[in-house]
Amino acid sequence: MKRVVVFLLAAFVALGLAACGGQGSSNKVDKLVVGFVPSQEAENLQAKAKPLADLLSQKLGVPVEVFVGTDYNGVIEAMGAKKVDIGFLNPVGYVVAKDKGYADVILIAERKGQKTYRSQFVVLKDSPIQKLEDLKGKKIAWVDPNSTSGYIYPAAMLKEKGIDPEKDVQGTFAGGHDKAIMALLRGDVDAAVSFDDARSIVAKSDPSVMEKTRILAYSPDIPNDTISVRSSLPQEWKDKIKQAFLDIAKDEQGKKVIKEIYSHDGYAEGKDSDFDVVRSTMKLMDIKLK
Amino acid sequence: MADPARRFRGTLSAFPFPPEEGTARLRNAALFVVLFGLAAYAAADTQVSVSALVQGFPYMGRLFVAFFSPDFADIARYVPALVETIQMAVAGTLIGSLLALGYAFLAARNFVSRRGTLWATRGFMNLVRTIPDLLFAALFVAVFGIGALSGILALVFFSFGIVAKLTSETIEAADMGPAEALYAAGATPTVTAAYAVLPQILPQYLSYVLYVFEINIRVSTVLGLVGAGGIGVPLKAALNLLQYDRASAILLLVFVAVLLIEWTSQYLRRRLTEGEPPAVSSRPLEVLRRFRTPLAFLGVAAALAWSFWGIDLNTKGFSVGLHMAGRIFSGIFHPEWSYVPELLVALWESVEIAYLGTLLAAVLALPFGFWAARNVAPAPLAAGTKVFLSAVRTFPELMLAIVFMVGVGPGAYAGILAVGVHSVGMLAKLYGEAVEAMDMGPAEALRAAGADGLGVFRWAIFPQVLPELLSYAIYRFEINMRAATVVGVVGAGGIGAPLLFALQSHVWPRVGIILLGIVVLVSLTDALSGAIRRRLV
Repeated sequence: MKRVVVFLLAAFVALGLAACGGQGSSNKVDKLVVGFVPSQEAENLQAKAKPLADLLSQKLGVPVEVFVGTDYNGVIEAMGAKKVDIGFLNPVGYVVAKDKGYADVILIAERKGQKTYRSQFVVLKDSPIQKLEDLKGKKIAWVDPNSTSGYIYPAAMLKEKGIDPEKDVQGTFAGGHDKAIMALLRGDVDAAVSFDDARSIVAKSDPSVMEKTRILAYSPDIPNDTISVRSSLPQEWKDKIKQAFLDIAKDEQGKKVIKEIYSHDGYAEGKDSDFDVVRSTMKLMDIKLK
Repeated sequence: MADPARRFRGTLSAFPFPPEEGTARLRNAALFVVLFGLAAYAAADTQVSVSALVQGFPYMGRLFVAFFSPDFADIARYVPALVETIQMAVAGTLIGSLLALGYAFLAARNFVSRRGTLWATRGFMNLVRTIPDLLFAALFVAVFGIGALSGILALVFFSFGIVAKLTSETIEAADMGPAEALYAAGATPTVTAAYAVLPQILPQYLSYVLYVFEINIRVSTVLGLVGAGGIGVPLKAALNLLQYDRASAILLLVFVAVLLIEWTSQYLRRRLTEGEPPAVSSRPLEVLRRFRTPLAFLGVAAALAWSFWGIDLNTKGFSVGLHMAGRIFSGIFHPEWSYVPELLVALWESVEIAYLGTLLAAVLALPFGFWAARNVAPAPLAAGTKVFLSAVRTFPELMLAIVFMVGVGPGAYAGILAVGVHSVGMLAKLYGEAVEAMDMGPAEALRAAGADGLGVFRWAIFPQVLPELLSYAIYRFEINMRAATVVGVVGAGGIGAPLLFALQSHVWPRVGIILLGIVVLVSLTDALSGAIRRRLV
């Protein structure tokens, strides 16, 4: 009987103690949190991101922590709630965050000197499908409803050809760029979409993928993923963070570190208007933006 | 009562105690220190902070504003997904329950006498029960890919675990006289089971099936968050684009569907358990006559057929899936031992989430529990509280976790709040039922003797229901332990995120070691909690 009371009391006291904790919120920056959204091989992202956090900490003189989210919602909302300061956001994720007033882009990632990438439609080599119009009524493997190159851009391309991506094709979401290509190889679908060129991931386990498949069409250029900072961060910190990333991308060790995480080769100045193409594509797909 | 030492025990004397011996006092003091220390340590470790929650209110408020202006523009897209959700729940429940009915006999002590067989059958049953529904879903998604097939399989396993356990307990409690007579007359065990035991347990069994179906309907709405089909898929898409007005339209739709299905199911359960089941019957399915037997059979067959209607089972992926399943098994048998230190940290975080979440709920549910009881609260308050609690219960932990992550940021603290708030809905309902079922004699006697409301509550009501309330809270800890291994898949701390990442990247040895860890942890929790509850009540 008594132990019950004790148990409840312990609860009250613990909660009371906890109430004394917590941080005040001010504009003083005494630590930074970098948020990552897992892409391929997320299981080691935390470990891969640690060296980057250390480099940033060195350059900025404040402790830098790494946060690996399980999806975009977590990272973007955390930026809106001032829990995450720097976010590696994909194009659609950035546009959503910007239009909520949560984040501003400071840099765009470069891969092989390019600031943009493309989405692709892939079919089997001997498939009768020769152009996008032929996909009407066929089975398509998309990647994920929120994937820029794995759904939103390619679906918009179909829409422009007069094919409703929701009604005129049988779409399934494969849950990954490589998984979409795998579904095509297995014969589950007639076509798959992915970034250009996700077949190289599949090639690791099935080297014949290049001979077995061909590219049906490419999307227009899509701006690469971003480094964004939360809007509520003081301007001087935004500038400092931007410079830190540019410096990291210049030195040998830093190059290795960023290559390791998201295969970035460098960073270029980014501005919000670079993403207007993404916005218009999202509008075409009925994704409401404020 | 006039013990001067009492006064020095401060707050402890706020409650009535039977006079106790020194050793008991010491033991209680030790227990107090341990429980208190653990709670305080866990709270500090997971950065629980009331001020952080208070500061998070404006952000959560933003979200609620969007939630309270649902956008039904896309409703045409949601309805097929909702239908698929119900199909998944029906298919998963029926298949899992049918498998469980036969299996329950193999796991019943009065049917199987071989120790070894029993050990194996009961062991498998308990193993299945340690894995939370959403983890099954995440596993099957890794094996068979995204879609309804993975969801159905997850629900099959989950339903099987619960129904098999409950049914085998019912079989063990059955009257074995008729069965022994039949067996002595030379009937085979199968015939004996069908004619002398099945008629007795059937109403109970069907009631379990419906109960599991109610759970599955709720679960199937969130399966999509891990990719296992149903309405969770558009829900996740809306959440990821931060379109809470659309998410709330989907949730409202789910809310209405779940309520309708629950009412129907509860009505059927009442019909089933009317009257005494026959001990022995020339017709094993006697009880179904209450629903006109042929109709009942047609109904089940039709439901099963309908539940697979138009569902894309992606059967071509099956061969690949079996290959993947093989790799998971080999991963479980070749676990990544070097991951153990990290694993223990993440598992410990899950324990903290479950412990603090349960504490929070056990305390918060107290007022709600008494407000919900007709015999201590005024009728309108009791009715209102009951409706409020059932509304709280409709929000799955994962949804609450997403809401709290907006307020306090990602991590274990959001998980604690989610598990805690969701548990309040369930615990307060049970508390209320316990209070309604108690003996009001002492309370009336005290009131007649002139005690005020508080006095009556403290001396006559609270002591009477306390052991039962505590037992419920500890049982809730078992459930919350499972939930705490899952909330991580949306980013709310614990072992969920590492498991999800390992599954997505196909690192099977790591998946293996994490699964082992979860099974061991949940089994330990169940054993500990069961032992404490047996001593309590």
